[in-house]
Amino acid sequence: MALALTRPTCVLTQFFRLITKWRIERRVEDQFKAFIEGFHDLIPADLITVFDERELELLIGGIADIDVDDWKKHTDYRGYTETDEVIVHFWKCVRSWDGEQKSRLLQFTTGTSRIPVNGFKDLQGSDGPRRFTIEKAGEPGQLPKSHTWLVIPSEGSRSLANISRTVSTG
Amino acid sequence: MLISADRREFFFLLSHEMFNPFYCLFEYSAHDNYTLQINPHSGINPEHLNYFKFIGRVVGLAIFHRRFLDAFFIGAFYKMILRKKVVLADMEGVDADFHRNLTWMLYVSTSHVNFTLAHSVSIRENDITDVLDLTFSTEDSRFGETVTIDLKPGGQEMEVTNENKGEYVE
Repeated sequence: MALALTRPTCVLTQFFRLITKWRIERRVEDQFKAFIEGFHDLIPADLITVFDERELELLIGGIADIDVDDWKKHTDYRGYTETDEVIVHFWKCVRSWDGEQKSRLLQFTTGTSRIPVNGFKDLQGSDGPRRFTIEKAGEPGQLPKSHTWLVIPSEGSRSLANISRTVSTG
Repeated sequence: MLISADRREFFFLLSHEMFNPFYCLFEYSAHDNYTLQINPHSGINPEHLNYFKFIGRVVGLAIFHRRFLDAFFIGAFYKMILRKKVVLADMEGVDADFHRNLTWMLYVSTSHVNFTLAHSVSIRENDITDVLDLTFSTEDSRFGETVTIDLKPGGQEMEVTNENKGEYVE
């Protein structure tokens, strides 16, 4: 979430830092230490840190075989319709991609490359079931964004080139 | 020596067992219910740290042999493996409600409009202490029992205020 922070606060900042650290790291510190000790028995830290977290997800979980027909069937649109030029080209573009690029698009939008067992109809958002959604917003020429759903600015070809670029650079 | 197909099957079956929330070692995140995180209460199993070390080795072994596990983790877990700093934004994948609350607090405390009096257009600097009564502590539920945790020594006595402006929140 991008916030314009004009008046940041020190005490509050410290609180956020500590509560985040506690919720994510400190609560499972012992467990994680044991896990990483075992992990480093096989893979040294300096060899794994060449990857970023998205690459590591694909390295551990593999690249899923994504069914684009199922994906498209369970996609909602905001401001676009399925027959819009941008959307038609979007799906054409996605179909032409290899497994890794498709996985990366899914990661970019939903935060994980995992597909639910029963396919895209069961995709979950942060507030319950949430279908894959493409929204029209922003100025032409801006890069696509994602916050629970994909946001593509209008103006066809440039947007799609931007998706490709945004997704592949992570 | 296992032949390749068996080996693949072996890692798949093993990952289903290791990460099965039934064993209390891992649990599904509150974000989407299909990404995994370490269960902070895994200590219910006295041998849990040995299991975590074993799981760390299996994950390392799978990467070493280029086999995939049927497991997807919260983004913060991958960052921890890569020794990257965990920030507030990573909380979204852990607990979306909690993340929403924190970002709301951040927004209120950094905005000029007083939301409690928004209808009367009272523009002044917000003080989070007007809105929330917070200390440097948090509550954790351990098998139904609520425990108060200090985020720093003596945290329960320290109030979270808007003092000492000047540092940015990541």
